[in-house]
Amino acid sequence: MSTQVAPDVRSRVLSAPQRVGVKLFVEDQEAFDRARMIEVFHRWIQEDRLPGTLVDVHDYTHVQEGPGVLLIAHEWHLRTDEAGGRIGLEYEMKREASGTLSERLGEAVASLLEAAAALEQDTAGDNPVRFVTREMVFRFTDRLAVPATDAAFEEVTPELEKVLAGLYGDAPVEFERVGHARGPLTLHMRVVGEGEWTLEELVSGARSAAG
Amino acid sequence: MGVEQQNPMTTNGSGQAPEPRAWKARLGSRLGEKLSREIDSFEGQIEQKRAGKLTDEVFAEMRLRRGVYGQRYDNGQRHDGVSSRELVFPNAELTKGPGTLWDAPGMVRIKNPFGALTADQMDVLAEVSEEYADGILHVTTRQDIQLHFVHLEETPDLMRRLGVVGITTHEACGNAVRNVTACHLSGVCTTQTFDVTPYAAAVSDFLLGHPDAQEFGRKVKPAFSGCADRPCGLVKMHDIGGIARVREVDGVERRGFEFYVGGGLGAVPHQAELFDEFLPEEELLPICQSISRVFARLGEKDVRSRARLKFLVAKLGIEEFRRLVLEDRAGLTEDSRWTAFLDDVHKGHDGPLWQIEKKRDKLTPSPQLEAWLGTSVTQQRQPGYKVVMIYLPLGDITADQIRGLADVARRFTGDAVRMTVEQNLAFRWVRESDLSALHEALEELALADPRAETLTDITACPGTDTCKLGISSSRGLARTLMDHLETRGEELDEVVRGLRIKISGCFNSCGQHHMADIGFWGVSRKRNGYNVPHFQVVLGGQWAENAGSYGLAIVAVPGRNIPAATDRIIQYYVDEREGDEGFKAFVTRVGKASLRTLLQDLTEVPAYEQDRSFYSNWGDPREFTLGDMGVGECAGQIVSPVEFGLQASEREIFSAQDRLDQGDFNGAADIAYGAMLIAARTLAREKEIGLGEDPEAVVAAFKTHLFDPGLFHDPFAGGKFGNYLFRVHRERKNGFEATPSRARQRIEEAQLFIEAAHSYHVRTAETVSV
Repeated sequence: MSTQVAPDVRSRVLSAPQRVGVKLFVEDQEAFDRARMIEVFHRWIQEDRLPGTLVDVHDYTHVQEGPGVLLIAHEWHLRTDEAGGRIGLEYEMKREASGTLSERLGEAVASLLEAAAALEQDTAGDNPVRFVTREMVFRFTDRLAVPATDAAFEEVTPELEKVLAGLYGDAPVEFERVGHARGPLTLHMRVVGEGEWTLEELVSGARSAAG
Repeated sequence: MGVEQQNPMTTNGSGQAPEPRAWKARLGSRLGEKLSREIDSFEGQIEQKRAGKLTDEVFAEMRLRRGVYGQRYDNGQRHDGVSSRELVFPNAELTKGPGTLWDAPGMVRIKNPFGALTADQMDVLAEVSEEYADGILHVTTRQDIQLHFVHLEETPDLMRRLGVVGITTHEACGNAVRNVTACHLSGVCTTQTFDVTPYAAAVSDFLLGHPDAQEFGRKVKPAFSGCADRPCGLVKMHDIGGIARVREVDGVERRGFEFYVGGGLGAVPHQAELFDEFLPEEELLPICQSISRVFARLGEKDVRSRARLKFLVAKLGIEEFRRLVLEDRAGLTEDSRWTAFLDDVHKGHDGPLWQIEKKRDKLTPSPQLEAWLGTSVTQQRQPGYKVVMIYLPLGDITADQIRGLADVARRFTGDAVRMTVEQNLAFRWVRESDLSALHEALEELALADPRAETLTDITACPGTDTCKLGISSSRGLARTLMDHLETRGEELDEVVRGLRIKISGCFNSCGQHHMADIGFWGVSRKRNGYNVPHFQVVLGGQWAENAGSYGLAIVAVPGRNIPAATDRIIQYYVDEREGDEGFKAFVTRVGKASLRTLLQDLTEVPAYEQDRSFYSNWGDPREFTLGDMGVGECAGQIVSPVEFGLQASEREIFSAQDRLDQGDFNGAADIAYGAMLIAARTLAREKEIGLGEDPEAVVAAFKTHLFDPGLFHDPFAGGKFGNYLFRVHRERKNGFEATPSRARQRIEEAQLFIEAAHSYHVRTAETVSV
């Protein structure tokens, strides 16, 4: 049983979610230093490195394939997510969101990219953290607004394409629905067209698109 | 980053009208009418509080009774390692309790009687944890589940979604009857007298929201155990507890309980007192009702620190308490519910999903499978079936994992899943022939770690991670110790692999350190002019026999040295044990003095400039402090008279423990009292130079200079610890005859008084530092 909204109950049109997660994968999975992230996130709180009300750092590195190290803000969570056994950085919008579906998606993508850029910058030098720029995972942890259904998948992908066009231009992207059938709607995005993008270029594109 | 402050429901992707109570609208018909009404009422209370129509105190108790709890930093202040900073939330002026900000993330406790879980419940728990919390479900030592970082305004929907699968958060917190726990093996256990599950369920149902159980000064925690010897139920550390018993009456075998009251951990642990050697099953509910009524009528209401049932039982004495309860019982109006449940107690709460087949699974002999079979699989009383333990590190499991486990449960066991008091999960009714396939399925979920109920399966309370009362990082230490001991792996002697380590972040014992073979609880010490996180090392506790005895602290060791201290303790045991001597017997034989000597050099703290790691908690790079830290140029080399005095008082406490071990209870109580006087005099002398050693003068000076102005008061416990001194001083004057339990209690109270003295010293030293 689940409290997820059944497909036949949903209207055709999605509403804008309060909660959505976006994840970038770390390039060198083996070299990723979890303990270092605790120090980095504590420093970010000291330095007000990211916008929002930054509350605390929480360590879940003892949980296999868990949320890793969390930076908790009132408005969002940032985690060194290890779901599926592949480490990445996930930004999850939690509350205080506004705007249309695509505006919220754009905001979440831009926020993730800025956090990732900050992490690359802060770890530059010894054992730098670098991110894969041609893949992202989108997780809609708001079943009321975006149920985990095929219909929702069909409706949300054009919205994501609009957002991603601001990052990758005309390069085509493809989406694969991943994760558990009763989990939140989760999409793995890959750029299938030609081209290379730095994180800085993506940040710039995302911010321009988000206005 | 999305911080605009608009009503989030006013705009959506399609421009459609908002649905402000959508979950209610969608799930309302699937909720029971009563629960639906209760949650609506709570939602209304949230609105009333927002509108300023409820006081902080009243609303706090309301939300606590719905399982909505505070969390660290919810006063809007956090020390970031450099300075104390204000957390600026959108609703900065709004509060949800005294000194508790509206927007500050909080904890929700979910109450699952006797830790039972169904597959459907696991699915919904996964949903709510990933939507409203941080994606982690935390299993507690009382078979509850806690979600952290939850916003108050999202709790009604969270409750509705849980309600659809029969879960309530009602009375999971607050001054109420809390979750009724029971051994996770009950019904399938090889040593049980009978299955206590239906009795635990009956007590839980009967007392939930019962009018006679609403006026308590503090919480009441019940527990049941199917047998006396094993630790799964931990009856003797609970307010109310029953151990299954049968007795032949007029040639007929009757069921009942060896029934206990007044146990509890907390700052001053009490072993429960025997209320009745055999409480017949039909008397279980009425006696619980009468205990509730007596406790509500006579229990302490004003002084929170003395308000648990254990204090009432101790104050009245078990004979008088029993007399009052039986007198009340005689006057109760008959209630059909008292016995209605007895018709079904022989049916069993769960059963096999699959029948046994003759064909056995051929197990693939991988080392992983062998290790898992050795530690995580136990025999059921029903032939052909096994109980499989699933290790959850520090009680944590992800939303994805528990959703996957729901599938695994549906495939192998159905709804026969329980949470355990050691923060793991137990799958019951697993066919022996399914073990290999189950192991494979658990491996896919990263849940096949074979360390359940072993040395490296460490229990820890939330500590400084999320608890407002945490002093040291219990989870940080637990993570470090788990890794440390796991690294040693094969070199660890077989005899230590079954020992239990339990850690609390403060004296309140949520990590159950008193009952561990090796326990730790967090304290702070002023060293070299800085605050240094320490842990008291507690030895001599007994996990078996339903928490048969409690350990005592022997010495405070800096947090950084706890792994080394643990190594030494277990090696000492390996080297010096006699025959098959158990750990508790070993500790008793060698004596705490030798163990203290063993650890003595580890109590040293290097200078700050030499090793800064000593000045931080494990897993937290911030310098450990309770406020802005500062230190004079020479402070690192100076040990103040106060530190000398407090250390002297701690040595006295240790002597008192030795006396207790030797059976000299009056001597132990006297020395503990003397230790309190040394600590009181040490602090009072700062205010009254020339203060002598006369106990009357010391107590008077302490009262005048430190207690009455509120200086000694603990930020959370108020005057609780100071009052220990006054009471003990009075008892001393009036003549005090120490029993074993009273001597132990006095030592515990003296220890806490000295801890409070340390805390006072830390606070005042910080105030004068620049």
